[in-house]
Amino acid sequence: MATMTAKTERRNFRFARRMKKMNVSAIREILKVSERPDIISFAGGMPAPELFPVEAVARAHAAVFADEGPESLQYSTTEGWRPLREWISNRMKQKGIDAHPDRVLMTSGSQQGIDLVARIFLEPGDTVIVENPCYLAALQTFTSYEASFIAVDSDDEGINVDQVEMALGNSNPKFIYIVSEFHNPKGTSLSTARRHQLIELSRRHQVPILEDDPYGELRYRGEARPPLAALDRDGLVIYLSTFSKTISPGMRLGWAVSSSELMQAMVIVKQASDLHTSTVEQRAAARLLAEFDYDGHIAELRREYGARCETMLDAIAKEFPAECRPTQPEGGLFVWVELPPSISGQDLFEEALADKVSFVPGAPFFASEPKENFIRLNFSNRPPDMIREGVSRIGRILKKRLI
Amino acid sequence: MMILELDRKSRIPLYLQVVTQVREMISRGALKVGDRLPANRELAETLGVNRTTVSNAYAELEADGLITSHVGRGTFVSAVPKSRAPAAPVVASPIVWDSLLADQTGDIWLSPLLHAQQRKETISLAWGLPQAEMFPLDEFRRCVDRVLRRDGRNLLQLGMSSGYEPLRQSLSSQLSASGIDAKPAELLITNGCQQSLDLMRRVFVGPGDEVVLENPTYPGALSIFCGAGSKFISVPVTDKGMDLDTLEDVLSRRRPKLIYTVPTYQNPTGTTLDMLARHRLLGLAIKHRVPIIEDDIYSELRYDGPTLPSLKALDDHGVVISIGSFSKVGFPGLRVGWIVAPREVIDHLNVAKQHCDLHASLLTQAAVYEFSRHGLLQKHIKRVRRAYRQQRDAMLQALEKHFPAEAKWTRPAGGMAVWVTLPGMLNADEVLVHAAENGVIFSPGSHFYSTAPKMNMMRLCFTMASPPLIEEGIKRLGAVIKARMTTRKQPRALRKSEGYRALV
Repeated sequence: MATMTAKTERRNFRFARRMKKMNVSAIREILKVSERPDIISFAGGMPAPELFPVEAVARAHAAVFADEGPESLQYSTTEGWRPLREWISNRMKQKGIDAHPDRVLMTSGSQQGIDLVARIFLEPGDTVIVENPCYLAALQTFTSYEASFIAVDSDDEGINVDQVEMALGNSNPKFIYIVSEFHNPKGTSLSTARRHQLIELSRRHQVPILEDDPYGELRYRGEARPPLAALDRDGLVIYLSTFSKTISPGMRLGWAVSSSELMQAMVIVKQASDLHTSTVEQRAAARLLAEFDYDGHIAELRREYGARCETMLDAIAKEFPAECRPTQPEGGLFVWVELPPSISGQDLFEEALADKVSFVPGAPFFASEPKENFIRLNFSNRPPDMIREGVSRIGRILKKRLI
Repeated sequence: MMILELDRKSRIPLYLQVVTQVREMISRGALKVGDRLPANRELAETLGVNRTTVSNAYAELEADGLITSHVGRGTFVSAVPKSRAPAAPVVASPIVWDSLLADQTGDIWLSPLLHAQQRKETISLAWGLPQAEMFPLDEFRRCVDRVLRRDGRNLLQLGMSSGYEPLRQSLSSQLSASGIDAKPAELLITNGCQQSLDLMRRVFVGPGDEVVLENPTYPGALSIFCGAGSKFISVPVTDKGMDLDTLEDVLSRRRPKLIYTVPTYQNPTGTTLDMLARHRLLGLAIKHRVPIIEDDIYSELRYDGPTLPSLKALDDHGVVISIGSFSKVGFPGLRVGWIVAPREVIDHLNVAKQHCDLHASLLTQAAVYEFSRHGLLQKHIKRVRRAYRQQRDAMLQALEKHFPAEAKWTRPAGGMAVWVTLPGMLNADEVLVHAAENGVIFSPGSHFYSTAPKMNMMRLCFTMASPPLIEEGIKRLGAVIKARMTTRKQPRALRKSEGYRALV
C-alpha cells in the first residue's frame, strides 16, 4: 500500500476542465464584506427582511402538516406540486402567457431554471446571445457548460435588436438570454416594440429565447409590458420566474414555462439534478397563495420599494456630480450608474468601503469588453434614511475625485 | 437508406417535415453531397404519403439549392445548408429541438413511479421509499414553527451556498461521533444525494472522462454518469460488495476520475464490504490516486451484523468524498443531503452549487437542524430501524415459505431491499406483468445495470408495506413465479404506461 501524505493526495484531485473557467467570484468577497453590520450595503440583490410574510409562511406550513399529513414529507413528482402549478398557470394567463399546468415545471429557484436550460442546450463551444452587461450568475452558469457569448449592447430600452439580428445572421447561437423587465444590473426594461422585433427574429431564425423574469411583479410606475412569452406563438420562449422577490428567496421556489417538448427534456434533467423541489415548501407555498392576500402583499412591496427607489434616484440627483448618469428604473431592485470615464467602479468601491458603504462595481457584469466606470446600487435592502446617507457618502467621494 | 419519421398528428405539413428532416440529415452528414435520394414514387410508398407531398418537399429542397434533379438519372444531394442565410426571408420551418438539445439522457421515472404508487389496492415492493406513516409529522411541524418564529427573517432571506451554518456544525459533530473528522468548512449542504452526485459530475467529470460504477447500482447514478459525453467502467458486485479483483485490474489499466460505491447495504443488492475489503479498496484508491465517492445513505438502517466504519472514517489520505442524506431515514420530500470532502473539493462544489440553484432551502435546513438538535432524529431513526427490521424479517420468512426452491436471495443486514435471483429461464420484466395483474409490484433487476443486464433478478423493497402485507405480496409473487416456471407461456411484452422503470 502506498504511503502518501494527505497533502500530496489533495493536490492530485483532477477536476474537470470546465472548473478552470470558473474563477471564484470576486463579488462573493464583496457580498461577504457587505454583511458587516456597520456597512450600509447596496451590494446584494436581497429583499427587505422586515417585509417577509413570516407569519403567513408559518401558518401555511402548519396548515400543510395538519391537513395534508405525511405525504408532505414524502418524495413527490419531478414536475412539482399540481395545485401550485395550477395557481402559477392562472397567474401566467393573467400576464397573457398561455401556460397550461402541464407545461409549468417547479424549480429550486429560477437559478435552477437557468441551469436546466443550459444543461439541455449547451455543449462545449456553443454560443449564447446575451445582453452586455448581463446577470452575472447566468453568465457563470453558461460558462460552466463551456459556452461562449455573443455580447450584444443595450441602452435604456433594452437589448439592441439590430445587433441581435446581425448576430443571428453571422452565427449559430443556441438561444438568446434576456432579462426583459427591470434588468439586473441595469434596472431598465425592454421596450414593447423591441419585444415584438425580438420575437420575430427568434421565429425567423428559429432560435429560442430564454426569458428570465424574476422582478416582473415589482413595478413601481409606468405601464406593464407583455412578457416575451406572451407574444410568442411558436413555443420558442422559455419563461422563468420565481417567488424569491415576492415571498422569500430562502425557500428556493421558482418555475419554468416551456413548450411540451422542452418541458419533457427539462423534467429529465431536473430529475437528474435533484429529483424534485422540496415537497413541503411547494405545498406550503400553495397554501400560502390560496389563503393569503398575495396581491395585497405585492402592493405593499411595490409601495415600499418604490419609495426606496425614488429616494435613491433623488439622492443620486442631489449628491452625485452631474457627470454621473443613473438609469431610471420603473421597478426591480437596482439602479445602474455610469460614472465619468476617469473613475473606476472598483477604486470607488474600495474608497466607499473605507467610508462604510458598499455596492458592486460594474465590470464583472460585462460578458465582454468590461467597462470600468459603472456601479450597481441595490435599493430594496435598506430603509430610505440609510439610502440617503449611503448615497451621500458615495457622492462626497465622487466629488472629491472629480476636483 | 433514408429513414424519415413523420408525425401525422402534427400541425406541421407533412412535406415540411420531410424538408426539415432531409435538410437536417444533410447538415449532420448522414446524407452527403452526391448521395442519391430515393425516387419520388419510391419515397412516397415508403412513407405512405401522397406523391405530391414528396414532390413538394423535393421542390422546396431544390429551391434551397440543397438537391438537384437530373431527368432520367435521379435526385442528388448537391450542397450542405449554410449555417444561416443572413437576412434572407426565411420560411419559418418547425424547430428541430432534437438537434438543439445537448443532454437527453435518461428516462423520466420518478413521476410515473409516484403516480403508480397511488393505486391503493396494489402491494408495492418496488420502491425504496420510506413509509409515510412513520414520518414524525407532529414533531417536525413544531420544529418548523419554532424556527420560523425564532428566526423567520433570516430563514426567508437568501442564504449561503455552503448551507445553513448551524446545520453544518451539528452535522460536523454528529459525523465525528461516527469517526469522521470533518470541519464545517469540509461540508456542503445539498438538495439530497441525487444533487450531490450531480455536483460531483459537474466538478470532476469532463467529456470522455471515465467513472467506475458498481454493476448493478443506483439508477440515479446511471442517469448522471452514463449520460452524454461521460463514460463509465462497470465493476461487478459479488455477494460481498464490489469485486475488488476486477477493480484492481481496471485501475492498473485505466485512469478513471472517480469510483462510485455504496459500500454499506448496497442498492440494489443489499451487500456490504467487510472490514478487510474496505481497507483494500482504500489502498487501491490511494495507490492509483482515484477519489472514491462513498454513498452512505443506508448505513443508519442497520438491523443486525456489525457496525462497520465508513470508508470516510478509515480514510487518512483525503481520498474519500462521502455523501449522506436525511431522505432514507425519514424526510425524503425535504431534499436535504450533504457532502463531506476535503476543503479544496468543497470549494469547487460550492461554486457548482451556486450555479445550480444558489443554495438549499434555508427553512428546511433549519427545521432539520432543530429536529436533530433535540435528539428527535436519533429517536426517530431507532423507531424506523425497529419497524424495518420486522418488515425485513417478515419478507425473508415469506420468501422461504412461498418462493420456489430454485430461487435465491440475499439476507441484507440493513438497507431497504432483498435482491432475488430467479431461475435462469425466467425474465423478471415478464414476471412483473403477471405480478401487477395479481396486485403486487416490484423492481425488475435489469434496470439497475449499466451494462449486461441480468434479466432474472428482482429487487424487493420491504420499507413500504406492513409485515402482513409483505407476507401477502410475497405469497402472490411466489404463486406467479411458480406458475411461470411450469407453464412457460409465450413471452409477453412489458407494458409501458405504468412507469415500472421507476426506482429509488
